[in-house]
Amino acid sequence: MIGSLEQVLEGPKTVFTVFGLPITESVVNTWIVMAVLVVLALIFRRNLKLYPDKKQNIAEIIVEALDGLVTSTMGARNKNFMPFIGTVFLLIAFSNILGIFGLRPPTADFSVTFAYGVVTFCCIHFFALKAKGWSYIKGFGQPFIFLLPINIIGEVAKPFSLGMRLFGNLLGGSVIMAMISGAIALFVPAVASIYFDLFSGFLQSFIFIMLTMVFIKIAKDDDD
Amino acid sequence: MLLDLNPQEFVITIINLIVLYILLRVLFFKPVSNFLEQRREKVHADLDNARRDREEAQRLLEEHRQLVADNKAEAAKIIDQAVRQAEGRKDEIIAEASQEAQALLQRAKTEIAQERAKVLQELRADISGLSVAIVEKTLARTLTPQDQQAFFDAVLKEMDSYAN
Repeated sequence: MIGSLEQVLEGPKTVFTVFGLPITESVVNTWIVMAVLVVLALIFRRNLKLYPDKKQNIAEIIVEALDGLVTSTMGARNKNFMPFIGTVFLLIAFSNILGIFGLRPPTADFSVTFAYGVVTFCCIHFFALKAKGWSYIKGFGQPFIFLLPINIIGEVAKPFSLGMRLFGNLLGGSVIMAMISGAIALFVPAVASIYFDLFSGFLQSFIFIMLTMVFIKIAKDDDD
Repeated sequence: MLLDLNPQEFVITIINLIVLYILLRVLFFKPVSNFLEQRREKVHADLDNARRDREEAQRLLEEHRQLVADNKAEAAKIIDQAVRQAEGRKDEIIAEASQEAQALLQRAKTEIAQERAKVLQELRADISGLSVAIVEKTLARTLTPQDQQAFFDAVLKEMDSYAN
């Protein structure tokens, strides 16, 4: 639960300033998530054995599930995207569920979600150019040259749509949670939190990586 | 306000993502993936080995069975041959023995016949002399050559009838 409705709508606060750079709540919370993920990674990665224990089973399930997802969505030859997709998924998912711990989800900040969208955008075009070269750029003039502006707008819209979707869902969730918490303080917010913070959080990060994978795959491998 | 883009935050977020990507890739995804891959390979190798060992065992068993069967056949052949050889030898021995016996019998018969002929010859000479002497004593005179001849003939005829 993240404070009152006013606090949510006001946007992320600046926590401190480094060399004149304002460091906002979103950035600090992202660092918290990163620290947690790195610590978890170190714990789960430690002494892998041939006969796995519980801890190792969890690590294996995570890696194999992501591997399976990437392989089934992008094909076996794009298996190498797994660490990147996995990182984005874990980062967004953990950011999304930060609301449960009373912290402001960094993903309820458009600057953050747009940055993720832009990273995806860069990946799409970098790997497509790497795979197809000049013919990829020519592809924007397909099927007729008149569609060039439309195609470019479509591509440029992708980071916005990815960023907006994530931001909108998370902010909406935060706003609703703040409103529920303001109206009824007992029991109901806990149940609502399961949906808005946990379920919606995982769902949105899943949607984000699915779209990322599909966009990269289409741009990189589809011959048109 | 909420949709304002904060450039510092934007840049820091991208850096955060890249840093986290590198960290998680190095610390988590790569090691676990490699480990899983190694285990998969190990399981494959173990299964392959097990299959190969089983096939080898099957092959050896087959080979041994074949060997045992061959040996049995060989033994049967050797026994058969030995029996046949023995049988051949038996017939040979019997034939030899019977031949020898035949020869022995033949020789004995011949000897007996010769002996008898000799004895008869001697007897004939003795008897003729004796009978002449007896008759001369009985008659108290010397027989004429004609008498002698008639007498001899009669005696010899009788003797021959005994001898035969």
